[in-house]
Amino acid sequence: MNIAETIHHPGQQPHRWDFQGAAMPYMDSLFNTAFRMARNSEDAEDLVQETYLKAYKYYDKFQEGTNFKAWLFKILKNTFINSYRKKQQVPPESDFSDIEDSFERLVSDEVTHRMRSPEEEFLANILNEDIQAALEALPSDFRMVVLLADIESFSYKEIADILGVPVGTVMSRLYRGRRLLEAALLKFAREHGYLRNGMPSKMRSQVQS
Amino acid sequence: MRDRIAGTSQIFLLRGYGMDCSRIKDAIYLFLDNEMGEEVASEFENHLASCPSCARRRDFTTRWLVQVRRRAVRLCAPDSLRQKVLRSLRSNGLERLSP
Repeated sequence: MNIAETIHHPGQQPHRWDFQGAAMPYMDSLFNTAFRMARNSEDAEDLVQETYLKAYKYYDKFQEGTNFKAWLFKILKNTFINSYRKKQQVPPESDFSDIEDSFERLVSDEVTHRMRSPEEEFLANILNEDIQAALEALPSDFRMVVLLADIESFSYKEIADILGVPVGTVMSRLYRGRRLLEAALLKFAREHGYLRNGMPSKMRSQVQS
Repeated sequence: MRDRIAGTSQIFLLRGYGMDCSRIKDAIYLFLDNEMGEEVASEFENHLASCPSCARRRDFTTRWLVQVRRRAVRLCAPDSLRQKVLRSLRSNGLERLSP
């Protein structure tokens, strides 16, 4: 891991004596991301603790004027890759070479007697737990970029620096990650019966009766 | 691989290689993320103004993504972790905050 690699973005400029003041406010964000990557609290806590220790140890390598939050996330990501991902059981990942176009499928579900468009129907009914489950279900590379972009609001360039990949890779992972997210949300909507297109016939007859 | 193709077409978008319906899908996210150059953004908006089906897709994508951003659960670090981290930092030389 190359912690000395810096992230060239304007940001806070913490001083050595104020590591605590500079770093501690990011613990919730780091823990949230760690938990969603490791998928359990124990590993998430270990990851966060290790991140803070490394950040403190290499604090003099942090360049003032660069983005401190992104620097911490980079350490978290490297710690996750090095120590935790290996030991995680990697579930067989589906073949994502053919992600359906969820939107086209959705709008093809125009039903004349319905008051609202299928989009309205879907958007009005997304459940909180479906959002969490859809995020959780993303393959880890996609989950990571989506978390960094949509939950932590990092820019593409910052994400590229955190992950150590080109900006083009960030864009394509984000693109595919979000399409997977959209597809998962629409799938849950169909399973819960508030979207009819593609619903199992058994469920459809229940809705109609 | 699709992964690379999607990335490549997004890079074309950043550089302003023209806008048609097939590119709008890729472009929506760049637009929502504020990562699209001004020139391309105005091309994007021009296309949407004259293309109801792309505008509909843009509206839909924006709205579900905003819901995800707003409603995704943000976990807080347990207080015990905060204490544990501070203890281990101190035992590694971190000085207490001066009053």
